[in-house]
Amino acid sequence: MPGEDSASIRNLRPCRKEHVGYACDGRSSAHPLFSGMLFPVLALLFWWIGSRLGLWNAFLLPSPEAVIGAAWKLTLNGQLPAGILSSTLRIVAGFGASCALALPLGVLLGLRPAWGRLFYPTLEFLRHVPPLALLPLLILWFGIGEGSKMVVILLATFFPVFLNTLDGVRRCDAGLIEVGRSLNLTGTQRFRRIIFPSALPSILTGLRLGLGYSWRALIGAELIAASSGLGYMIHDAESLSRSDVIVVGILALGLIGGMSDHLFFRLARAAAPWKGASVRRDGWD
Amino acid sequence: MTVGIRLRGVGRTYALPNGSIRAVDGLSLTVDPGAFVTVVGRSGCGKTTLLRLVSGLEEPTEGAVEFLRDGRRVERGDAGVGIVFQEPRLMPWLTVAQNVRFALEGRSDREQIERKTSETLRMLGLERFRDAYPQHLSGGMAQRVALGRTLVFDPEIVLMDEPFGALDYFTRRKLRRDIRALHAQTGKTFVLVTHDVDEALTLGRTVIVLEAGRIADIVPVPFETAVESDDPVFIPLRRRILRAITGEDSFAPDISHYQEAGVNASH
Repeated sequence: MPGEDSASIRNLRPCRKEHVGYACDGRSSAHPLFSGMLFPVLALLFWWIGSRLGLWNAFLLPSPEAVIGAAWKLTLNGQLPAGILSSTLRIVAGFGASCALALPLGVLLGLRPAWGRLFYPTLEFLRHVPPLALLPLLILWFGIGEGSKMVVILLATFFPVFLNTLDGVRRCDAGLIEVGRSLNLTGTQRFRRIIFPSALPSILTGLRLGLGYSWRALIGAELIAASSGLGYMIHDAESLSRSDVIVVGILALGLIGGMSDHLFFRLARAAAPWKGASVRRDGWD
Repeated sequence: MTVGIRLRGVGRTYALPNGSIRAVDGLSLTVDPGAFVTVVGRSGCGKTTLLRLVSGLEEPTEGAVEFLRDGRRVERGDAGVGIVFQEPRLMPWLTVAQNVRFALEGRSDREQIERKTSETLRMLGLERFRDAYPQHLSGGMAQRVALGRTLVFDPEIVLMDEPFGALDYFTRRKLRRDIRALHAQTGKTFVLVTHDVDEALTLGRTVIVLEAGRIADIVPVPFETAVESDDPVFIPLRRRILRAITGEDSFAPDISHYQEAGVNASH
């Protein structure tokens, strides 16, 4: 319709530096952080009013004030920071080990698909076994300490990182690789300058998914067997019937997970500006 | 000094599950230094294979591709052979300027790379877009960037594989003119492959007609100035090319009405 066309033309405005000479749709919404805060604020309000009116038993869901009080106390006595630190260190170690294995293997099998025949049956078997199902055995083998947690995180995060790396390397446009050959680039140069940058968005997506999975797996492992960490804090509060501490643990997990994911997204966008947006596959913003 | 190309009995056979196919069948041919040669033929006639053999992307199963400077053989690497593909094949993670200097990275010092990149961007009218990413370019502009990426390392021989195939009529027309001007300006050896007979005639000074992997005809185009493809002077040439490919003679329209209108078909 002509009316629509003219309206959309009016809404065009020059874009950022990389859009030189072009225009894009200027319609913009409020900052995602503000619009995204609508439901949390409503939930908080509902929680607060419900607690005030005594709509539910305070033992089942303590009031926001009680949770804030518990969080303050746990911060002051160092339990919360220690739990966060302990869990974060496990993530760094477990996820780091997972990346150290999954990234090279993904690249290798992406470049040499024939070698995949050696690995795929084993990997397919492992992929279908939930890491937490292995935990009893892992505790027997590695003890209740850090070893078993690290292996649980490794198992939980290996596949998203490995499969996305493999996919990224395999999907590299053969035409681009041929450009490298026509310009007499060596095999190493073709990998460094064409295959790796082309696979980077997919690799970053895998890392991001893996990071999310690592928190889930770790907390599962800490709930079952641990003597520190956020999962342990929640488990311990459960046995002491401290539902306010459980809520503090849950909120801390959500906030830290969201923050680490957001940080990773920013890093991904900086590393792959041409496709950074596609790294964020879940479409949250 | 510009480099020429010599093909000596070049053949390329592909193995298929149920036999083999001979894409290029014993071609012998010389392209003089500084020539603009177009290779025309229908799909599957072996023209792209021929270009890939010259570029070194494929090896011939028989015969040899040689490069000659002052009549002496030189290696492909020393000759400097650049190829422009049908699709621009730009690196989507690099800007226009970074794509153009892709071949130079690590091979020259920073200052020289910057100077050559700027020169090439200016020559192709891409300065304004140097920081744009390929996804923001039109098809014609992207193809110009691809051309820039090839020209920037100053190859003696420029090979083009249907570089205008995916472009609209107006962009094709504009790029044809640009390419002719570029050839005149640089004096390099240009070989362009196309299935478009008009394109072959308006661009090349020699048209090689390929059919079933063999040279069906070599047609000289004796017009120095750029002419449009609808110019009547092309009619006999077009007819000759059609005859070489299909054996038919019905491709060209009846030109008697041109003659009646006082247009002389012999230039």
